[in-house]
Amino acid sequence: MTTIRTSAFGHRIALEMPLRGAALLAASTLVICALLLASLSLGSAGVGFNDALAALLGSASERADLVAIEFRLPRALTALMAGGLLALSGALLQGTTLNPLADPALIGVSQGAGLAVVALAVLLPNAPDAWSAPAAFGGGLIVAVFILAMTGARSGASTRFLLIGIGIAAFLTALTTAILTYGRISGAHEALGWLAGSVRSAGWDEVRQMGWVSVAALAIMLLAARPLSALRLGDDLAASLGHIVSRARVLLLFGSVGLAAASVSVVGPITFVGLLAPHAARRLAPTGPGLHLALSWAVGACLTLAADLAGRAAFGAIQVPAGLVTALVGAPCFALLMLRKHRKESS
Amino acid sequence: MVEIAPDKPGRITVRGLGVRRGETQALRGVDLDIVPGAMTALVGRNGCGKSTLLKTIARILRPETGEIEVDGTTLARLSPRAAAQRMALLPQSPILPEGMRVRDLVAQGRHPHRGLVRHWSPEDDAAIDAAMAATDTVQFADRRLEALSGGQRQRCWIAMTLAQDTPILLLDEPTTYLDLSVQLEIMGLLARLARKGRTILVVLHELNLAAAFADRIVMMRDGQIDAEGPPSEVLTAPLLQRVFGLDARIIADPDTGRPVCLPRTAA
Repeated sequence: MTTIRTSAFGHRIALEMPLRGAALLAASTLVICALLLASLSLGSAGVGFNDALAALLGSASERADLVAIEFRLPRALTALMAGGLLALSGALLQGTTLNPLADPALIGVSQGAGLAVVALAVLLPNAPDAWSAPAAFGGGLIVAVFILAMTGARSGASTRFLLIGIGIAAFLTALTTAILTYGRISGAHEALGWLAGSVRSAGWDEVRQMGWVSVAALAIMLLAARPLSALRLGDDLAASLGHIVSRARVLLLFGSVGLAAASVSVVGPITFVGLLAPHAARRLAPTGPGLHLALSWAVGACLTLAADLAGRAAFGAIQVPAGLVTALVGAPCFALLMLRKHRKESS
Repeated sequence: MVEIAPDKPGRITVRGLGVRRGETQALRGVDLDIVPGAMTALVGRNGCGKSTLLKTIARILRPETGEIEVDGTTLARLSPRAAAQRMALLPQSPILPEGMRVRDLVAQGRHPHRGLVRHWSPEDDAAIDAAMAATDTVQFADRRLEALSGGQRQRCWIAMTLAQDTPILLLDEPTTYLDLSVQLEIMGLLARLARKGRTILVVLHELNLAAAFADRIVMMRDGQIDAEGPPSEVLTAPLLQRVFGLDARIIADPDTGRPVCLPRTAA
């Protein structure tokens, strides 16, 4: 396989990247740009591509500027970053548990985060907005620790892990619905749209919040690559290669839950992106874990951005939340992957 | 046996080692000096503690009592990375990442020599090339591991541990599930590596493989060491009876003079 290599300071900094993976990363960046432009121009109020581009450069009519920059751009950016974070969270979770079907929104981590946010909104309506992100993190972490305690920390790869997770996800969804049913109506109404996984109401505040988390995500990506590449050979080899396995696993799990929670606290639980993006990235280019994380981020960003665009523009006046679109596409893909995992285990 | 200076690299010293696994006391008071630059085989019945001993030396299990020294330094005081630069392990059933190519797998052995932004170096390349040459796996470099036979795959895993470039090599039953001819090939490879100066500690199930290739044999029973020494001293009928509950004759291999264990099968 052809690789690109660079080095500086007498090999103290020496980077290596498979050519195909690097090319794909560049290509997916272009796709993200194209989708962003499409998101600005398509929709119930038509803005031409030229106008959208002009609006980005700050030289469009007032109407185009209002529609494209004030309404559509923050929404698109939020969708993009939320998708990237979820994909990264899924890739970390899959790498930590060695379970190719692990997805924060499938095993209940996102639902735990969601329940915490809804409970906060309904039970403590006067709580400041800033509380919802830590609440989401706490809720997600409790679920992750609970599942791992039920299945045993080393058997994350098992189907049991998934089944328990799916059960917990269903239970938490029911709990959330119960809280909404009995909660105060005004708070409940707001929470309902959020729970469908919608970026509809996203504004520049949300963009800023997600932006900071995305910077943190970049750091996590850099730090996670080494332990992930050792863990995929099994715990014993990872230890022999110089890692403290239990500590690495806890840190990776914290990272995964944190990224999922940050995304959930802003846009609600968007399902299947965390599952599909890492798979798609692996299919597109077999690479080491570092580049795989970056590619997963890019694919997740594309998926969610496209889902939001489709949900907003494809059905005329009806707005379908991005979370529903990803679920519609993701569920059949999940079934296929599950089938493949079973076939491989029984062969 | 020639006495080897204590500062020579690759010396493992085990003192009063006790390890508990769940409810059972897997090791009790194990004292052992692993001879540097030689192959030592750990043998014994299932559950005798031989894998536990190997895993504790490899820092996968924690000792309850006693300590392990590597070249005079207590294992607990070595950083994980420093320890990984002294000892490499080939576990019994490592996980094979899907679609990985042979050279990429061998390169994983360079892990403890790499860093956050230090993904490659000329030393890495040299170590990978040398490891693949020593294990005769160069021709598979761009092949996927799934496409190789069991023996070829095992040679690639050994190449990975060699690329780690450590004076000590620990292997947990590296010949299990392989054809007899392939078992001989793998053991021959390990013997050659030991002759070139590596300290090799290998858990083996097959007594005659240990007798034919190892420089020293350590027999374990009930979490303790029962006998230790060169094959000709350790592989005796009374010891086999005591350690394995095996009624066997010991004969000498006409070619090598090494002992061969021949279990009595006549009814």
